[in-house]
Amino acid sequence: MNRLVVSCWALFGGAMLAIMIGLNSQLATRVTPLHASWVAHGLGAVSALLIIRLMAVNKPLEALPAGLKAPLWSYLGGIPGAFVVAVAAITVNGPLGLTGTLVLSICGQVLFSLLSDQWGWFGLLKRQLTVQRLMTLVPILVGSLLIISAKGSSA
Amino acid sequence: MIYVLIALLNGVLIAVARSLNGRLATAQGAFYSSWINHLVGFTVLTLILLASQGLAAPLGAVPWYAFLGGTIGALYVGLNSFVLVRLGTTQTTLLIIVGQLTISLFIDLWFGKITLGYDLTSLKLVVGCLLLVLGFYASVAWPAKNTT
Repeated sequence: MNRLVVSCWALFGGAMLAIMIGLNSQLATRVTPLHASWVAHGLGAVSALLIIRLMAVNKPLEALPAGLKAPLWSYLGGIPGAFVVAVAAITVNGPLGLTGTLVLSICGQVLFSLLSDQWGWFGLLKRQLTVQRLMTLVPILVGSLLIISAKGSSA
Repeated sequence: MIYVLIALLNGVLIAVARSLNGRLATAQGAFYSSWINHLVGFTVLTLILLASQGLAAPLGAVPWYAFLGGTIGALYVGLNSFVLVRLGTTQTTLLIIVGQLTISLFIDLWFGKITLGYDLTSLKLVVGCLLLVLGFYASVAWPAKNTT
């Protein structure tokens, strides 16, 4: 598939993430953050099943050197995902606040992704850091930090 | 300092979840991975809640639209897995961040939480957005060859 089309789906995914965070934090003002995450996961499970059934989009993606069969551990992505909310609640309410948490979370995500891509962790393809990839990484990282710091100071 | 490490751990957890879901999606499909992700997360959170504060919550007081976060989350995880297998973890992470920050900035401008003017804050926002556009352009226009 066209690289531009896939990249636009990634942007759309990021937009969904922002809206999801906004709605879930609305939920978390009425119930505890843990309950909000619990409800969102339950409704998310039902929704994903409906998406598969209604739209028939449950096609495997692409063959990998590690083989097509999914190892047992790849079913456990929901566990780190479930702890994200609890971990974020600690730092958002601490001295770092929302801005500091967001900046460090992005740094953690990018650093870990770089390591993971470099050596092909999790049975995914190796994608080593190149000058071309830095041309994407540096502007996006600097731009993100500028936007987050500007929003932090205006809030 | 401990807070810095915890906040970095937050990012690492997100990246690990993203990679595991991507690996599952390569064999079983993007939305299957979204379904399993939410099912496993729901189970873990059910156990944590049962062991701590119990499941009861005043859900009647919640406005209807606040429940849509789960559905949108199902879409997000599916799209995330779909893209990750094609572009790799780092590129996916970066592009998701671009989409996330752009939309949340639009939402803040729309609801008047941020107003643009001739000040340093607005300058940072505009330069930041231009850098995001540059990064996105570079990602699409100059794809790196896989060095497997």
